[in-house]
Amino acid sequence: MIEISNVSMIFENRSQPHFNAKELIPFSARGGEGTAVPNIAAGYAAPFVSGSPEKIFNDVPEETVNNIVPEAKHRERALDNVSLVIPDSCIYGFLGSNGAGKSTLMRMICGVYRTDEGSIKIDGQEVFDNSEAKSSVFFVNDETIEYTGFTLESLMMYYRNYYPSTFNTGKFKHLASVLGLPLNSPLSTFSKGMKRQSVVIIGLASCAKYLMLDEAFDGLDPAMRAMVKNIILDEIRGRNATLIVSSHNVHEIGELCDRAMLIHNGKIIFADELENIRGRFVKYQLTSLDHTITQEEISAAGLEAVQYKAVGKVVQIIVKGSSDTYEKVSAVGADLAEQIPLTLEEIFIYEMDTNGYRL
Amino acid sequence: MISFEKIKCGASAELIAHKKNRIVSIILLGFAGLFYGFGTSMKRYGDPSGIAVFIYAVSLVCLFSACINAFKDMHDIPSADVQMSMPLNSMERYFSRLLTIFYIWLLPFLISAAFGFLMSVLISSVNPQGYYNSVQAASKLVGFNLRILLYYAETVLFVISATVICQCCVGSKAESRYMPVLVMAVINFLPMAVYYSIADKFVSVEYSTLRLLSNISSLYLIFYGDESAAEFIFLGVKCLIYLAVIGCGVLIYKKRDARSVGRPIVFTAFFEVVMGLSLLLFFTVAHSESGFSLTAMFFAWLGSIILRLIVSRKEFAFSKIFLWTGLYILYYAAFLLFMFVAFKTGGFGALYKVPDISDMREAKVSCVNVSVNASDGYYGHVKKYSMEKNVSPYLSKDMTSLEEFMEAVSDAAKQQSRIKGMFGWKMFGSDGVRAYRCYVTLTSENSRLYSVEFYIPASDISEFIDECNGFKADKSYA
Repeated sequence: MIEISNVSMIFENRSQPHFNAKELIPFSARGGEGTAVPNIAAGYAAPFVSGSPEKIFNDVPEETVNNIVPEAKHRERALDNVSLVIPDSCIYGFLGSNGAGKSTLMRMICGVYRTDEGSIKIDGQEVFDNSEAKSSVFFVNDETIEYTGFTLESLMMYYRNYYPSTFNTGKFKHLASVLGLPLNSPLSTFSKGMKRQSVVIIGLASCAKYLMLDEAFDGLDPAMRAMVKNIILDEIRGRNATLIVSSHNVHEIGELCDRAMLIHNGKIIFADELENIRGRFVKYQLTSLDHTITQEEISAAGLEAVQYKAVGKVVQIIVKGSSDTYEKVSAVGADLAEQIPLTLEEIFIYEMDTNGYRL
Repeated sequence: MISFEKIKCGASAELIAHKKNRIVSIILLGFAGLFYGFGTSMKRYGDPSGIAVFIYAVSLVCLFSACINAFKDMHDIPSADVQMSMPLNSMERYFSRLLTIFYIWLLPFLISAAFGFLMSVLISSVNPQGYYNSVQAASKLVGFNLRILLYYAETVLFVISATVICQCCVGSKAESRYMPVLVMAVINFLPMAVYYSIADKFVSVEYSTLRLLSNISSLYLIFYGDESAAEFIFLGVKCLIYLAVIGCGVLIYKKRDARSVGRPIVFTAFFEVVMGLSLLLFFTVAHSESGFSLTAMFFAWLGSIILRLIVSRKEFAFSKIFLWTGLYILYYAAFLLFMFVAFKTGGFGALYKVPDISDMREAKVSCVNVSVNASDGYYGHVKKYSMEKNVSPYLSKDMTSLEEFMEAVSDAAKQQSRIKGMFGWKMFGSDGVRAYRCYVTLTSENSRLYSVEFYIPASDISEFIDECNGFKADKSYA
C-alpha cells in the first residue's frame, strides 16, 4: 500500500501563464441570453457551446482581444497538502491538467523528489532515500529515454543489475518477441513508441510490486496502445501488482483503471473508485413538448444542476447524484426524461471548471 | 545503511551505460603502458618515454569525462529521473559512481602502470644504457617509476576530487564541465601566486619548503622537485586529503534530489567560494609586481560579471549587476585585508622564520641581464649575460643580518633601491632602466635553501663585479 500523507512540495520560480477565458468567448457563442454556459476555454467548451472554436475566435471583437491579459501565475507549491492512499492490487489513474502535479507526485512516490512536508510510505516505509522501499517500485518516466548507446538487451541488463532479485529475463524476452522489438538493434534506431514500449516491458519484467507509468502510452498508435494495455493488464493482474498510470487521456484512464484521482494546482480534487466518481453526478436529457424547461423549474424540483444546456426544447442537465435524484427529475414535469451515461471526460471538465481551470 | 552488493550492482549497471568511455580509456592507457614499458630507461637520470607521458596526460581528459558522466544524474534531468528512482539510497548511489570511475579508468590505469613499470625495469636490467650496470639501472628505475607513479596518482586524485565535488554542487551540463576546470586551475595556481606575492613583498626570502607547499599539482614537481623526504611526505598527505574530500563528497550528494537538477548552481556558497578564490588569484597576480592597475581591475570585474551572468542565465535582471559589483568590491576589500594582515605579520610569520645569516654555510650570487621598466615593474629576460659566483667566503659567524652580508658582498648590492610594500615596489625612481636581476642563494646548515632577489642597475654592474672580487661569466648567451 502506498500512503501519501499531507505532502507538500515547494517549487522555485515556477510560473504558469493563463488567459482569462471570459473575454475569449463572446456572448453570442455562449448560447444566447439566459444560457449559463460554464466559463471554460474554447477547446473544452466545444461540447457545450454552439459554434466551432474557430468561429468563436473569429467572432471575438477586437476590444475583447485587447482585454485578454496573460497572467503569469506564480504558484509556490507544486503539491499542496496532498493525501492519498493507493491500495494494493489496483490500477490507479492520475488525472490532471498540464502542470497540475501528477508527474511531481509520481516522482515523489518513486523517491526522485524529496517532500517538503508530509510523508510518503510504501508498505510502511518512508520512500525517499530508502533502497528497500524503492526496490518494490519501477518508474517509467514521460521522456523518451536517452540511452542511445544501448541495445534493448543491454538496457535490460542495465535494469536487471538494479532489480537482481526479482527480474525475470524470460518474461522480458517473451514480451519483446510479442511486440516485435529487436534485441540487438541500437535504441537510437527505435521510434519514440518503440522506446516507450521497451522501457514498459522492462518494467513488467522487473516484477516490481508497483509499476508507475507516466504518460507511457504517448507515441503509440491506437492498435499498439490497445496491445500494450492488454499486456500490462494481463501481467499486473496475474501477479496482483499495482499499476499507477498518469495520462491526459481521460477516456483511457476510464477504460484502464478501477480507481482514479484528479489533481489540479497541486491539490486533490477527488480520489476514489471510478464507480463512485461516476456516481457523484448524473446526466439527464429532459424534453417538454410545450415549452423549454428552465433552470428555475429544475431548481424548484429540488435538483442542484451543475450544468444546464438547452437546445430548442431539449434540455440536458448534470446534477449531483443522490438517492432521490430520480424522483426529483420526475417532479420537473418533463414529457420525456432519460438518463445519459456520463463519461469521465465530462466529470473531468466539470471539476476542472469548478476549480477555476482556465486556458 | 549501505549495501556493498547494491553498490557493486549499481556500478555494474553504470558500466554498461559508459561502455564507450571505458573502451577509449583502455585503448589510451594500454598504449601508454606499452610506450612506457618499452620506451623508459635509466640513463644518468630517469628518462621516461615522451609519448607515454603525453598519452598519460591526455588520458586525464578521459578521467575527467568519466567523472562527469558517472555523475550524470546531477546535471541531466532524464538521467536523474531514472537513476534516482532506482532502488539505491544516496550513499549507495554515490559510492557506486566512484566504483564506476574505478572500473572505467582507474583499473585500466593500474594495469597499464604495472605493465609499464615492470617492463621498463626488466628491459633496463637486461639492456642498461651504459652509465649504470644492470642492477643499478634496475633499482634506480624502480625508484624513478615509484616517484612518477606517486606524482601521477596525486594528480589523478586531485582531478577526481575536484570534478566530483563540482558535480555535486552544480546542476546543469555547462557548469558540470567548466566549473571543475575553473576550480582545478584556481586551486592549482592560487597557493603559488599567494606564496610568491607574500614572500616577495613581505619576506624577501624564498623558502624551498614554502615553494613545495605552494604547488598543488605534482606534475610540476616531476620536473622541479628535489626528491626530498619532505616532498614525498607532502605528496602522501595530499593524496590522503583528496581521498578524504572524495569520501566527504557524499555528504553534499545526499542533500540533492532531482529538483535541483537543471539549476546551474545548486549551492550558492560553493559558487561564492569559487568566485572569491578566483578573484583572489587574479588580484594577487595583478598586484604581484606591477602595483595597482585599473585595467587589470576592470577586467577582473568584467570577468566576474560575465561568470555571474552565465550562471544566472535564466534569472538575470539588469539590477543584479549593481549587486554583483558590490560583491566584487567586497572581495577586493577582503583581498586588501588579507594583504594587510600578511604585511603586518611579516608574511604570516614567514619573515620571522628566516634563520640568522650566521646559520648559513654557503652563499652564491647569480645575475641575469634584464630590462626593467620601473613604472610597472615589467622585466624581460635579455639573457645577454648570466653570471654566477660562490660568495661563501663572505659569510661570517659574526654577521647578524642579511644587510650586513650584502654589504660585504657589494656596496652596489646593498644600495639596491627597492621599497617593498603592499602595492609593489618603486625601482630606481626612473623608467626604462637596464639592470641585472640578481639572486643571493643561501644554504643553511640544515641544507634548506633561501634566496633573496635584488636588482643592480647596469650602470653599477661594473662596481658590483669588482666588489665581488672578479665575477666570472659561467654562462653567456649571445
